[in-house]
Amino acid sequence: MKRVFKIEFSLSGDLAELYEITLRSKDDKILLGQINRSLFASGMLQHLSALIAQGGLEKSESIRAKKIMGRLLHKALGPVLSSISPSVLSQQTSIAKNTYANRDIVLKGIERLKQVIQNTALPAEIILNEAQIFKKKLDKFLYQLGS
Amino acid sequence: MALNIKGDNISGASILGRRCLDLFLDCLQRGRERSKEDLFEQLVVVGRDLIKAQPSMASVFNRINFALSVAKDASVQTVSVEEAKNLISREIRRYQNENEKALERIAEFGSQIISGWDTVMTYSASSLVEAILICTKRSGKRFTVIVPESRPMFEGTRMALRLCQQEVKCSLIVDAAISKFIDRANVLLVGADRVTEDTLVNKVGTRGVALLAKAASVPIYAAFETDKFLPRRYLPVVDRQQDPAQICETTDQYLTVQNIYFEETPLDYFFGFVTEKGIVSPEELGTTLGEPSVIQELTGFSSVELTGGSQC
Repeated sequence: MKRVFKIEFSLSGDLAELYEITLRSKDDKILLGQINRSLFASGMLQHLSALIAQGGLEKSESIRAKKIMGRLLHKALGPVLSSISPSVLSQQTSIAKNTYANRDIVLKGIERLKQVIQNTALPAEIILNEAQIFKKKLDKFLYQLGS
Repeated sequence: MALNIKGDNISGASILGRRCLDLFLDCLQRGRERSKEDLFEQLVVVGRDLIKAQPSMASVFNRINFALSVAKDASVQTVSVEEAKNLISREIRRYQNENEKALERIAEFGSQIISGWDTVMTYSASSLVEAILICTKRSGKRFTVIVPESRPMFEGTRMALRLCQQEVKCSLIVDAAISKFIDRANVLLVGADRVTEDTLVNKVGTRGVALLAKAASVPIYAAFETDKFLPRRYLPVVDRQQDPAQICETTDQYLTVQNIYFEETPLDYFFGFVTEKGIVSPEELGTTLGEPSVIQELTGFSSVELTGGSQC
């Protein structure tokens, strides 16, 4: 089986507009290739987990995909989590009471997700669901912080 | 005997399942049956009575099914009644020992989904959830637990007090405050009385708590032994009316008290299930649970027979 793929495609219309917004919001330290790869990876993870849940993959293929997805999530989420806590959570000084509460929820969420990704026996769907839940809470907190 | 089991509205399914097998052992010791056929017939009568006493508890059904399967085999494989009784007793004890080990494995697996900073919400009382929380505490994690009291029998309150004796920090709340406190939780962990093909049967209110958890983006897990799986075709899921006085002692011609103990929650509400075979996702659950094999003598229960005509 081929293990290296070079993928080239063009974006236009709405997709190109969204990509532009994504690039404008990116941290300068992050390489363009990294962004592209992670966008592609997150789309593929979502697509495959939906496909597995709907029984769209053969059993052996689904077991193989889940194993790889689990590995990928373990590798990807660790650095993401350690990059969030110091930069985002310690800079605000006067924020509303409920934002403080949400910051605690995010901090707890980081600890929880760290533990989840350390558990190599957990199925990929569970890790993915836990990561999505954490992202929702983080987004809510960042939205409150921004407003 | 079955009356004692029927009257127990506090113990969880795992404990009642164990007690049913203890009752079988007691029957085997005390019984004066003259033939192996009489022995088997007597055990079938006792087993069916116990199932009717707790029709929502799959572990009661499955453990009786196990004991009767062994008894059926024993009536062929052995020569005398005493030999048959010895064989059945030995197998029941072996099953109970394996079950004890399964509980320990569940406690260990379950403790892996709780982190040191978690606020765990639970609902009703479950010996498995309790074991998981105690195991997590012993591993040195500093989590807290929110426990709703679980009306009408307050088994949540009792569990909270037992957890406190093990130095697990608990907040006890009234059931109506669940919606207020769910935001503070970052994991919901419940037990189960039964698992069907597509739902989890547990104390009434579980579905509501699960819906609130979903709305608040709180991951939901359930802990159960795999012998709590029982498809509907073997035993219907029933709502039996319980004693109205547990909710309201006053009677009135215009008042109907609805006191039911169990309800079904769709399996796809859950992130994962903690079983003795590991933590599995809803997609993997079917493969993990397998297909139970039920002996003919335990088939054909009707809803009316199970509810005594008091279905809601």
